[in-house]
Amino acid sequence: MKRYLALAALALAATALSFADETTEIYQMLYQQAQGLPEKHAALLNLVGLGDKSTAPILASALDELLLSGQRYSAPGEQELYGSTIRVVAQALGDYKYESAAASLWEAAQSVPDTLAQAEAIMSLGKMRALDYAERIALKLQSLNLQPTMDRDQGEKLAYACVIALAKLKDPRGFAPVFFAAEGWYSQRVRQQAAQALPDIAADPTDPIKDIIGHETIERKIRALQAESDSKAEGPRKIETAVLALNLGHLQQGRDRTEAKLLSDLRKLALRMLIINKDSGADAVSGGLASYQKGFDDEERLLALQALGVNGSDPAATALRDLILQLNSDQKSGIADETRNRMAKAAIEYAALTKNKIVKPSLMAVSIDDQWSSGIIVAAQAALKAMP
Amino acid sequence: MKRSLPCLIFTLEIVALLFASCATKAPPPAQASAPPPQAAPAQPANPTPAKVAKQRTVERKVPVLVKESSFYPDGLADEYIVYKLDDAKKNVIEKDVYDASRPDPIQRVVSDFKDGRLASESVFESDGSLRSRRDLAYDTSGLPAQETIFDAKGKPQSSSAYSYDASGRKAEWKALDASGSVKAVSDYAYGSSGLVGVEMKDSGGKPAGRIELEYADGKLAKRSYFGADGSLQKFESYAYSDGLLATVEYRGADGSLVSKTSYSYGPSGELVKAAESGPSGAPGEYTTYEYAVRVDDSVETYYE
Repeated sequence: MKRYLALAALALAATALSFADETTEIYQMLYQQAQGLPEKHAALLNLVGLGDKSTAPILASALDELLLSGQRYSAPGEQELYGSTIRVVAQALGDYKYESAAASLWEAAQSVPDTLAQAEAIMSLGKMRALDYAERIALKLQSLNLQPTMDRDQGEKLAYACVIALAKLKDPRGFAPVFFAAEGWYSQRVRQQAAQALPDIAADPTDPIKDIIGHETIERKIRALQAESDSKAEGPRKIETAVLALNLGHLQQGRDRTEAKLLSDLRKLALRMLIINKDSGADAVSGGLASYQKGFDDEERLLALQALGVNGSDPAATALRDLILQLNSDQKSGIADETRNRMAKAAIEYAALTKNKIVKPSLMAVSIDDQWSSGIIVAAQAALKAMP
Repeated sequence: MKRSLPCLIFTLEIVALLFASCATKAPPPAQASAPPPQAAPAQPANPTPAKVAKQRTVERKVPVLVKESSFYPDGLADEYIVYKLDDAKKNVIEKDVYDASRPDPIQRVVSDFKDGRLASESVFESDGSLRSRRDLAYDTSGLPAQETIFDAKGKPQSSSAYSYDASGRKAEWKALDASGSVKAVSDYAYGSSGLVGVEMKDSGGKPAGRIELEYADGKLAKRSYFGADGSLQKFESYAYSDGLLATVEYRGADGSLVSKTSYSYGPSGELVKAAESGPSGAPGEYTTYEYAVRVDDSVETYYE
């Protein structure tokens, strides 16, 4: 067995090595000797075809040389070859993660007439995770998002490359442009790629998302909040975003029923996020209470009660106590209906969740009021038993 | 990583064959003819009956590379390569390179085989357009003799011509330009362990550099690169564990470590991971390899 192992190792080493590295040396030399674009193109094809990382420095200097000599190639055939050569070199530099070439790649992305070569240069910046260029790529995409380019196809290609690059860079500055690209003027291919990239574009996209929630349309607020919910941001960051959305969702008045429904959708999503992330702070209590009192529908009101119950803080328990006492008082006054009963039962059950003594008086009041149905009284008694 | 892929695939097959798990597929069938006397094992001194040669079919499980995934140092997926094999799982007919975040291949390499040998390899860009094609021609011994690179329009770009010594080892490589003029020549020298040196010359026959290979216990231990002026440029050191290549250290002329690649293997000796690290030892990118299993049948003679 040992003999076989040794043979195998020899095969592994010898086979992989003897046919590769002199080729690298020779093709590097041939590139240095090459005269004119066709010869350089041929030499670079060979060099790149080797897939050898150690060729990155010479490829970078080749890119610089090509960028300097770009104006020499004005004939259509030459321009095509020039673009194709830049594209091949740019891709290889990205593959090899040769960050020293980042400045040249950015220059290629700006100045080379060939769109595919520009796009390749942008993607290579992403591939090598050249963070210094994250903002510039984000701004480029932001600018492309604004309106269709004269040549739509060119704009699409560049936007696609920016999305790919920003997805690799994983920088929060890339979030907003990719977010807007997902609903931009582009074809489905670009929009889909942007939508797919969004959840992973930054570990914590909270800041750009809060910015979108603060300034954009209700539909975008909802999409942004959903993106925050789907993101890898920590719970407290998701909670602060949900609180912002909940409060803004109450501040803004719907101009019609459709808009009121959208605002309710925003608030419901925020309430769900508060529940899932087990919010226990005081900031969301007023918004939760407002959703209970002025909610668009019963679903929102029930979610608000649940969020208050899960919260369990003194302010949340106080809010639950007060609203249960109010319901109890209404009941005593003969104001009763099926919806109120449903809300009362939910409020009592979520009050039990708080395990906070503050809610006790309201539960006791319900438990001894025989005007309530037996189901609600039993719920109140059970909730009291759950109290510490 | 890409440079050595074709070699690596070939190598993995060798490695896999050597490590192939063997299982007897069927009971040994009776052999009609007696073994030739010289092939029979030495007979014991006691008067036991002579052993008879029999044959049996042996099943060998050979891992064949089907996927290669590369990752950033933090574990984020970078790209992956899917190898499509022919029905017999012997040849890679297509290599699709994917960016981990994109649904379509960013590059495809399609191979054509003729008479069981690689005849051409075409590289396609992400938009489906042809980037280049490489055609291979073989000599009468079946060894690669000519290799020509064509551009997207089918125009020859450059070519290579290979010649071999009597043992079938590569003796010379000529790099030619599109017009067929020799641009560089490499001569190969061999010792008892294998290739020991490569002399590179330019089109005028002037030295362009050389590579020296040193062996220890029959295994490659060091490879050094020298410039045209004869000065050492860089070198690589190879270390082994359990007979398998464990690390390759890439060093500058002054001996300073530039980078290091460590290799891990699976139970059949197949390469499963190659991890790079920087001069300070900080982890770098890494690549993992996945395999399918090919079952090869072969007839084995044994004595009973």
